[in-house]
Amino acid sequence: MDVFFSALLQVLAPQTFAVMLVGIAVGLLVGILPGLGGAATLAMMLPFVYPMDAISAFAFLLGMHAVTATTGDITSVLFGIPGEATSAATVLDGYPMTRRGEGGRALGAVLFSSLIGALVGAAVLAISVPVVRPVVLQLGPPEFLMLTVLGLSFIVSLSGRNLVKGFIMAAFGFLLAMVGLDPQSSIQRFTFGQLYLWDGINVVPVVVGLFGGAEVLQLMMTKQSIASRRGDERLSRVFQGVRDTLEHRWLTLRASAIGLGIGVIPGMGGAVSQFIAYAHAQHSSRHPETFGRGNVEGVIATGAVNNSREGGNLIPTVAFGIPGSISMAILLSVFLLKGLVPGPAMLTTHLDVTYAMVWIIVLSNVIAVAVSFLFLNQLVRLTYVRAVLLVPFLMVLTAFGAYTAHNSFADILLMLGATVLGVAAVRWDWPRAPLLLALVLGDIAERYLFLSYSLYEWRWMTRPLVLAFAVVIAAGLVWPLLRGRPGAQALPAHGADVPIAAGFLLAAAWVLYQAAGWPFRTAVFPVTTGVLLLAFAAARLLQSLAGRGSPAGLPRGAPGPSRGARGDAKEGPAGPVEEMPNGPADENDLPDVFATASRAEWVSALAWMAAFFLLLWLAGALVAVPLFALAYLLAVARQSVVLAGTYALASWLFIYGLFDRALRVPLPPGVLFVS
Amino acid sequence: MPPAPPRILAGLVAALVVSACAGPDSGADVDLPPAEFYRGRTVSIIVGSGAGGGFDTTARLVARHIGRHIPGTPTVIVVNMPGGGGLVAANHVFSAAPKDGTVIGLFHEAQMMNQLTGGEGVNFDLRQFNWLGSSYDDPNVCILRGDAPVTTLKAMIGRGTPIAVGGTGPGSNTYDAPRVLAAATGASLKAVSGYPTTNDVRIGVERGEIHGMCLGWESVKSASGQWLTDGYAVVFVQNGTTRHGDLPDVPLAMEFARDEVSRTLLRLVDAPGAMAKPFALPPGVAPVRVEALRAALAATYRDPAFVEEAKRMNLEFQPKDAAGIQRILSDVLATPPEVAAKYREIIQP
Repeated sequence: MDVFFSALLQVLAPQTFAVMLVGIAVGLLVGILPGLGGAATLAMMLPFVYPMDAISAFAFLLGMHAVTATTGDITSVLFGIPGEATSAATVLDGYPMTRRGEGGRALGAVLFSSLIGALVGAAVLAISVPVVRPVVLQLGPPEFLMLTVLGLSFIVSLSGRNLVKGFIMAAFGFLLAMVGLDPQSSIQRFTFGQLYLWDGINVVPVVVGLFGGAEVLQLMMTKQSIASRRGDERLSRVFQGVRDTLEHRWLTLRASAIGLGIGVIPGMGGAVSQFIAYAHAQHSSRHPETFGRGNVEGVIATGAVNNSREGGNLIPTVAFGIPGSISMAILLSVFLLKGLVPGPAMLTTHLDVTYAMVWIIVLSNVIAVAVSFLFLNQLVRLTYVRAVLLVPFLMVLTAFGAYTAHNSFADILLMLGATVLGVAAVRWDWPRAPLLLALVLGDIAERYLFLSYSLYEWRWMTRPLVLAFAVVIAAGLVWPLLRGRPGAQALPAHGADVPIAAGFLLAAAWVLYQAAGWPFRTAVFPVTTGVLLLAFAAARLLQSLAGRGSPAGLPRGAPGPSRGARGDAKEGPAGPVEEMPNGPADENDLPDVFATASRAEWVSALAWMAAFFLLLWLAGALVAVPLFALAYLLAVARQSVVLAGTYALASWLFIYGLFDRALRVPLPPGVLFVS
Repeated sequence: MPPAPPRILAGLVAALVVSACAGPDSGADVDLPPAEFYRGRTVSIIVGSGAGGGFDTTARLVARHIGRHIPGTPTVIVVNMPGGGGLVAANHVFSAAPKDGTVIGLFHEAQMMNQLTGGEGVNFDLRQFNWLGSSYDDPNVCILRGDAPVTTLKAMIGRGTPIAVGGTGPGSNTYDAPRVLAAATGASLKAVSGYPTTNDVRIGVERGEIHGMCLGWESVKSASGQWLTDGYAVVFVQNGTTRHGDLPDVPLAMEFARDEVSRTLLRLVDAPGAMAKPFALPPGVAPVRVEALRAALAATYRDPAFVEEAKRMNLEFQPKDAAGIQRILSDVLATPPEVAAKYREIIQP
């Protein structure tokens, strides 16, 4: 115990504390800015810790790292543009809340639940380091596999009101995960001969496009503010979010536990845990049907899981010297740099350092959340501004966010492809979350299945923990049926579902044709997924052809509850919004811009978007961003030359001064300037 | 709101054309002395892997010091270009990158095996790069847990139940080396592939699902040195041509090779390690700049501040110069096609 508190005093020593504050400030900045991943920042900041002692070095880097996870959620909530893959699930409910004018509440909830998550993570780190080794060593590839299966079983709940559409999107996501070199045979799968695709589809550009790109386009068409109506601006809205978190304290704790559990396991990746926590929140909610339309529970779960995971990630790093993520690998090099040997010595000779890390996580999260609360109102006010003024800025967010993946323009193309997919999904009611979940889980599932088989053949299935996981998964699938939740009402039928389903059908056929020549191990996953996609797409095709006559589509499952007979109301005027503890049950509060926009609005928005990315490709970021800002503000936002000029100049200073000079972030250079 | 007035879009295009014409004047300054050319410029080191790995660490360490030794003291930055185990970066540096001496590549030396075996996507000839120097002499070794059923290569040869070692996948030393080792010596070794990273292999060893792993000696020392000190694991074979100074008592795989072809195969699998983490300029850079950067890299490796920092990071540099790298490359790439085909066949899963 003495060590525990003397470690706190060490962290509070003026110099160490000051260094931590600098780290927190950098972390806050990096979390909000696009184009800088947490890991890349850590790598860049590494040289600064050479002269420091061990605890100061961790205060600086860990403080920075802990905060990035918190602030990464802010752009997800405010603009629907996730900064990294681990903030993607925050968009699902956080952004609809903002659109509804509840941005303050959503931010309050995400920040406060992040704080709780961090505290839980730190507490468990402190307690578990002595005992965690044997536990972690019990979990091998077969258990990891079962964990991915558990994650995949949530596709059912993430699919929303149309299970078939959800399965189709998941199968498609799975196929996207298969793109690249098969790690077993080095055979190319679905790469079209493009070297860029060899390493597979990176989640970040897909996330940014699927959610962020689609939202930016939407804003360009509405020309209104992000928040569709002006919410209550007082800080009380923020505290409403805090109260929400306290009210759902068990959910917060469960989500924190999920983050910890997955964080402890090396090789699972951060995005997985967020989706599992999100799906769990939906699963256990009393209003699962409001998820994806601004349910605060979804926001709370995704906030808590991110920050508890950091504590979990640290556990294998400290206990084994085996990092669970790239960021942890960089922190591990600090251990070596400071002459610390991870492992048992961290509990004896260097126990003070271990406990100091716990305190750093606690303090930096408290400070970051406190600082964020100070600025929340200003941030939320951005969402009341006319969206056209934000468009140039948001365009930069999406472009730079995607570009972090490989520093390649192909990242941006991938992001634009995902944008198209995202727009189509919003317009014709195809759920996006299952696709993303399948994309993050697909290659892990394949990898650990074959690894388990190579190690144990089929005996892996008889491991006790594998069986325990199987029971949990089965229970999770059967539980909703037993609970007798009223069947979700059917989605409105869209004429476009016929060509879309037909498209998926063709894609599945093409996949099967491609896979025909591959050896068994390379082909088994794509073929299985292809067959499933074929079946689901055919089912959907029949479903929509049969349901074309009735506007309500094909009723499915139990008869709808009282609000079932809505029919084609989607096209109608927005209904009144009631205040409900878990968000309104009415999905029509968010006007579907893609459905109502005129042809002229479509043409204008698409032309401007195309102009920006073409310019970016040709002339690079330093020319494209200010030029686009100037032209867009003059022509579309109808601003004065002075304002547009100032905006353009500021944007140039911002990316040249901050990104290019100070932070040295690689920016798209522009093909014209590369000789 | 009406669609964008064509005027504005036309204005955009016009501005673009103007700015393009006013682009940088690269190429016109080939005759500048290096000190004048590099003054105020930025030199990028393009790394063929993501942030945080061994290549990235080496690149950033060198980037922090080499600027002082280049005439004109330019700013040196690191740009990550992961993909295909260095293939993307190698292709980029070979053909797309500017040839004015402002772009340095650092990509995986194992690409030489890729070029030799006619791997897909190889659009370069390694022999044509302007090599600056490599960072480590990193012979491949294999380690086993002390409690494995057998812990010597001799006892493994002709044994019934194979000893399992873990690896990431084909093209990586962790997988190719044990495959070749088994084929060349008849040792009963099974390479389990599919671990996401070498760190995951390490934890697999700790869990006990595999008995050991093969990788570069430098990596063993820096990441698993404690295992050896504690007697938790032992090095049971080294795959080089001569015994490494640190490992005088560990047998060479060569000593157990079945025939001449086996010896060649073992030499091949170890060859990349002798020029680990090499820096290269694209072909076609002006010789005076190539020389300036070669001298700068050599001076960096001797710089006491650099050596001190490397030591704190558990890194010990054993550089090879351009001539040494060229020797290895021409040696490996002159391998008879039938041996190359045999190698390719062995590493097929």
